[in-house]
Amino acid sequence: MRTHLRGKSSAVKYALSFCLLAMTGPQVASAADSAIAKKWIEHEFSPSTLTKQQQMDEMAWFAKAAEPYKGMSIRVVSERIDTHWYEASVLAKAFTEITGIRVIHELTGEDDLVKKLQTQMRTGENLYDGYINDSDLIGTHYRYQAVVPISDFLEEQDSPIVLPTLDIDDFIGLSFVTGPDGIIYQLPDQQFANLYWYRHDWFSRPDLQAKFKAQYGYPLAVPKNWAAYEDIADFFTNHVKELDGKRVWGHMDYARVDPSLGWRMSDAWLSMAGAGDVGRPNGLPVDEWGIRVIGCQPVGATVKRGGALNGPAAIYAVNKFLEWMDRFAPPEARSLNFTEAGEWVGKGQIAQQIFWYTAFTAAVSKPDLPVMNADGTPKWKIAPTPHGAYWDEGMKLGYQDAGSWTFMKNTPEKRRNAAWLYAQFTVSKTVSLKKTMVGLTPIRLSDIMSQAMTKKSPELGGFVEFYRSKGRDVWTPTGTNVPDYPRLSVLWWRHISDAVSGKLTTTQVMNNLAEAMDDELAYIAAREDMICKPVLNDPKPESYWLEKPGAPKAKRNESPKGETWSYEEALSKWD
Amino acid sequence: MGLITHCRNRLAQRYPGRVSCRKAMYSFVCGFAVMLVSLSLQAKESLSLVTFLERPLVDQQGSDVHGVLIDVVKELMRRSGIDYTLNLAPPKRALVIARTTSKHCVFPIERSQEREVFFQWITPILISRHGLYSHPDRDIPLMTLSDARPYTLGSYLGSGVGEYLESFGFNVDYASRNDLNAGKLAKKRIDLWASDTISAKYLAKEDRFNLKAPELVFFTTVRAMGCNLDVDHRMVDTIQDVLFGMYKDKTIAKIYEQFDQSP
Repeated sequence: MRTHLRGKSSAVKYALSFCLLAMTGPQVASAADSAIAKKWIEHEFSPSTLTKQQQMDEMAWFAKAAEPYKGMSIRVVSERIDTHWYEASVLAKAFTEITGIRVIHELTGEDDLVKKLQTQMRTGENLYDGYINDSDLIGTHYRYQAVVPISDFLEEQDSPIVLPTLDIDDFIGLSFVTGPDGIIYQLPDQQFANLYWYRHDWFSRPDLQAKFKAQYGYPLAVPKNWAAYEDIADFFTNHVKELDGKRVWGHMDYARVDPSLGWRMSDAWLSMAGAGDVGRPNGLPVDEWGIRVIGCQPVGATVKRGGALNGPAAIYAVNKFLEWMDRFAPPEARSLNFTEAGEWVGKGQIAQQIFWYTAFTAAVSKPDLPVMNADGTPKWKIAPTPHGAYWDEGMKLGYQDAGSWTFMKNTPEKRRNAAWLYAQFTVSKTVSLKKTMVGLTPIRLSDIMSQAMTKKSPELGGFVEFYRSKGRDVWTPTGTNVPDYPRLSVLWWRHISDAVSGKLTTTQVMNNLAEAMDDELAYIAAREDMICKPVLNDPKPESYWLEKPGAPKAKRNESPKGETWSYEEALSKWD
Repeated sequence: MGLITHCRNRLAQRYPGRVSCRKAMYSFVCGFAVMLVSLSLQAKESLSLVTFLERPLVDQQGSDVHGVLIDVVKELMRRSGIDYTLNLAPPKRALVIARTTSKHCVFPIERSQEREVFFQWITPILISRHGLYSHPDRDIPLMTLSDARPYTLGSYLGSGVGEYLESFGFNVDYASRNDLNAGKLAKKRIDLWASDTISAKYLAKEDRFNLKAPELVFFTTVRAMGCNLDVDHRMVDTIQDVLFGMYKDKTIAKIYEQFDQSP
């Protein structure tokens, strides 16, 4: 078994790599290349954690490494968020000018992107030379072995196409893109978390604090558990009702029936409730999808096979999603999808949202929004997500999206190598801090700890503080228990929609969903050529599993007393 | 797909969770018989396919519907062993028919997030690249899509790609049909024509307009066949498997070569 390179790269090695670049870089770059690189460094790639000379050395390396590929035109694709728009319109142009490799960087919806990747896997048609694909597919890539692992690039000694200053240990999301075999399959390009969003200004008002304390018996602050979230939601929706002449709501969500309804669940909602097992990034042997594994082989999602998808915790999670939508959210919430709901908090009528993607940070930081102060600081903050009644210490507590460079084996090698150079360019230290400031999707620890981020942090409502805390390792993407993300992820919205419409009870829906997941696991095992295939456990009485420690967990008290803590306590918990 | 693999799939579909490929109890003979029964059942069921004019991919002369996409679908249905009928309808009507009528499928449609829930999907029926074309007398160099920001882009009503460009804030001028855009570009009423590369080449030729290579090929679409939710999912799976096979054995590429219409 191969091992990946994490740990091989040390600070000394990294410093030496810069020395090497400093010695060789300027000698190999032509005067014209240097002038172009200098233009981009001076006018665009600032701030950076590198000195200007180090940036010049990196750009000289790219110009030299790209020589065999000069004149080629390559095509890559990513989802359409601000970070990727910056790459497609600025970084692609810079790379083309500096290296002579033309890059067409397409943007599309995440759903379409996954289907395109699946199309290339299944047909052998080279649609793209590189994909920025969510690491949620790590279990798929590991099992199908259809992608070229990043480890393969990195392990080649003295490779002319591996950036010596890539500094792989600087990437904060490396565990998300690593298979059970220790191999790195993808390279993180951007990350954003799903966190708790709340109106810090409202929560700080003495009149509201006193009223809340009198009514619920504990302070109005960041909720530690779902019981407190529910109390706060009730407080604002049903008791405060109006602030500054505007109707206000204690909760926001979305439930339109489309694939994004599936993400509402599969993006780790069940982990927040506590459905899976202890262990990060995803819980072992049962992950937050409720899928149990033995070794690397999925053995079932139903409780009767040792899974947790129709266990008490999963049913509780979906029940709370529906109950809060009906009791506390604006009536429009049911007809919104993920994108529409994410920006809704900017209207100034929402007190808190338990399931909120930080990818919307820039969108709700616009100066003219009612959620912003006149000095450019936000009235809101983001904080760690409260946990449900089944959550235990040592578990993950929510979702993080890690869009990551992914290269298919069926892409012609020369095209793939050229795309790999572009990929490294988009995450190089020369450009990554500027990209992070534009899109707020950090991937490098060096960027997060930079002075530029310190200076920016008052404008970002706790975003920087979260990424500087160890919480960044507790909110994690879908993991390796899921053997075929494209096939299995569609089951979520197809079944949850029956609960949203009221056609079936939550228990019926989760039973159906768990059975469908087992059926699909069996189908995949019978049909697909993959390693670590699912092998379903024989069914046993549910009590057999529920009486054992860990997931699936037996029914607990789902209405404990609400607990809150200060924003600072919520963050320091993870340090 | 091998015979045994196919058999296993059919068994797994019918008895999910109860079948393991590794179980020796399912002998080759038993499996072969099941497959034959399955195929013969499928052969008895038929599908009604609905499509719409999209020259040169789907064209009509009198009652004859033809084009490269029709050849692809004919071969696909032949290999799947499924009886079918093929009818033309206007695009929106075709979508409604397949969405609301059992045993109907429509092609070639874009598989969007909004449409996902209304159909069962067989994909890719068509992979298209979309380009931005300038007038032959006027070069508009584009390195990235954002370079097209200052210009008026010509598209047509109902085009997903036109809507895609508009969603990014581009200035899109819609014609009622794509073939009108060749004339608009010739008269410089639009700066750039946004079209899939196969249609642009064909429509410009028909218009006797000397179209240059696109300034930028900026987007790829994958179009599908959408089948009514009541269509037997095993039939959908079978057609899907056959389609993947037609890409892998280069049948699709050969059909396109015959029409000289590689994207």
